[in-house]
Amino acid sequence: MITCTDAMRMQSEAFDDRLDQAARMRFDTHLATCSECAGRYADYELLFAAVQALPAIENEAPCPYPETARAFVRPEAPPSMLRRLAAAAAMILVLGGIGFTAFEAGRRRAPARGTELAEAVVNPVDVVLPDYEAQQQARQVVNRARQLGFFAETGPRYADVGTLRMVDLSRDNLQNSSKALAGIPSERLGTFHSQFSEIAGQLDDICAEVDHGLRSRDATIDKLRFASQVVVRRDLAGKILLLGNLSRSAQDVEVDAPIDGDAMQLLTAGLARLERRDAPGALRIFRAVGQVPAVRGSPLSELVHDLEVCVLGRVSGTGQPLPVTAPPTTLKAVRSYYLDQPGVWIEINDQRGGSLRIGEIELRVRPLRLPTQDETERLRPIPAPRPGKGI
Amino acid sequence: MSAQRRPEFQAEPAPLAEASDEVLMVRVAEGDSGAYETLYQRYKSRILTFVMRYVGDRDWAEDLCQETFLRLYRNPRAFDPRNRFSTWLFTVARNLAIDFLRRKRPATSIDAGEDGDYRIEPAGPEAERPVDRTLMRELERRVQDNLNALSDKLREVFILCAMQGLSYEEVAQIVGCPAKTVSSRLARARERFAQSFDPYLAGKERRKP
Repeated sequence: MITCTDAMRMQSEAFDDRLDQAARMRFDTHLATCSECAGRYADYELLFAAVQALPAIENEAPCPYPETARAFVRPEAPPSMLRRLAAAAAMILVLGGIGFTAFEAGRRRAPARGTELAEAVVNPVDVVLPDYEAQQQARQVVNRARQLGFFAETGPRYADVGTLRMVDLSRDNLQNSSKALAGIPSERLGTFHSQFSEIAGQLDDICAEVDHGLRSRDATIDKLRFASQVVVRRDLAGKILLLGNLSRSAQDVEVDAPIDGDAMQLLTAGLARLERRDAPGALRIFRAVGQVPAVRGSPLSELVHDLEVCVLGRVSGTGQPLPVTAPPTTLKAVRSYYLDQPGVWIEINDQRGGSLRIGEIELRVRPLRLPTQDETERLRPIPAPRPGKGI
Repeated sequence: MSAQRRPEFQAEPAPLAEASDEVLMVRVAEGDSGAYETLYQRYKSRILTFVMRYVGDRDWAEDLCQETFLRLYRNPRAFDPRNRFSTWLFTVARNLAIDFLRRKRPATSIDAGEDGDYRIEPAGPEAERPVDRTLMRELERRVQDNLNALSDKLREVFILCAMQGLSYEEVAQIVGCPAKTVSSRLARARERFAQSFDPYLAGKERRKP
C-alpha cells in the first residue's frame, strides 16, 4: 500500500508509463481507493497531455547554408575581383565610415584566420536594440559578417566554384544588410551604434582575409597557367610535366615544357601556395621525366617536402628495381637533390629507412590513380647505374 | 581469350527523404547540401521550439536555431554516426542556449512580456478558429511563463521530455546525467507546473495544500 505522498511522487513516471508492473499496480490501487489522488492525477494527465500537444513553433526561416548555396546557381559569371573589391570597399564605407584608405591598410595587415575573425565579431545575441527593425538589421549584419568570416577560411581552402560563389553572395548579403542598417537613424540603433566601429574593424579584417585567400588562389592558378605556356630552353633539363590539380577545382593545369628562369620562380611561388596538408589533392601529380633540374631549395624540393612521393619506374639503390608497371611505392620524403651535377641523382628516404638513389625518375606526388597506358608507355627506360655515382 | 568483365553493381544511394538521419549526416560530411537541407526540414521546427521554450524569446531562438544548423553544416564530422542524430542535435542546441542564457542573464531577465515577444503560429485548422486560437495562445503564454520560472535544469528536462517527447535515456544523454535524475527533475518540474495551473484545473478543490 502506498501513501498519497508516494502517489504524488509516482505520477510523473505513471504519466510517462515508466513504472514497472508492480509499482503501477500499487499506484492504480491507490487511485482506486483515494478519490483525492485520482482527481489530482486526472488533472495531471489533462494538463500534461495538453502541454505535450502544444504545436511546434513553425520555423519558416530558410536553410541557413544550402539555401544560400542554391541561390548561387545563376547563369552569369561571378563578378570580377575588381568588382568584388569595390563592393567590399563600399560596404566598409557604408558600415563604419571607414574610407578606402583604411580598407587598403587593413588589407595589408597580416590576415588573421577567418574562423577566429568570425568568432570575434560581436555575437548577435549580445546585440540589444530598442527597435525591432533595427535589431533585426543589426543582427543580420553581424550574422552575415560571421558567415563571411567562416567562408574566408573555407572558401580559399576548398577553392571550388560553389564555395567561391557563396563567398560572393555572402559579401553581397552583407553589403545589402549594411546598407539597410545605414538607413536606420542612429537613435534607433541604441547600443549597437556605439559598437559600429568595432564591428567595422572586424569586418575590415574579415574582408582582408577573404580577399587574401581569393587572391592567393587566383594568383596560383594564373601562375600555373602562365608557366604552362612558357617554353624555355634548359640544357640539363629534359622535360617537366606537371599536372597540378587544384583542390576540388577540377581544373588540371599542365606544364608541358622545359622550365627555367622566371617561369621557375613563378612555379615555385605557385606551388608553395598549393602546399597544404589539409587540402586533399592540392597537388595530385608531379611527374618528372629525364634528369630533373632540381637543386636544394628548388620548386621540386618545396613541392615534395611534405608530400608522399611515389616512384614509378626502375629504382636503383636498393637492389630491388621496381618494374614500371608496379603500383606506386610510397616513400616518405625526398631528402635532398643533387641534380645540377654530372651523374644526376636524387636521394630519397623510403619508409623502411633505407636510402634510394635514383637517376632518371618518375615522381608522382600524392598519386590518386595509377598511370594510364599512355603514360606508362611514355616512361623512358632507366639506364643502368653507373658505378660510384649512386645509380 | 579474355574473360568478359562483368559490370560492377553499384547500389543507388537511398533517396534523401527516405534516408535515416544518421545516413544523411554522413552525406552532409561528404558535402551533400541536399542531405543537409533534408535534415534541416526535418528538425527546424523541433529545434526552434526547443530553443524558444528554453530561452523564452522568439528572435534569439531563431538565431540560436540557425547557429545550431550552421554548426552542423560547418562541422558535420563532430557527429558520431554510431549515435543518434536527434540526441546530438538537441545537445548542440542546448549548449548554445545555455551559453546564450549565461551571457544574457546578468543584463536582462528572460520575460515573454505582456504583448508576447514570442509568436506561436497555429498548428492546424482547429487552432485557426478564433476561440481555440485564443485559448491556445493563453496556454502557450502560461506554459512559457512557467518555463521561465523553472531553473535551467528543470526547464531543459521538462521541454525535452514533456514537450518534445524524448525518452528519459535520450534526455539523459543530452544533459549529461543519469536517467533517474532526469525522472526526478521531470517530476519536480511537472509538480511546479501543476501547482501553477491549479486555478485552471477543474479538480483544484481536490488538490492538497
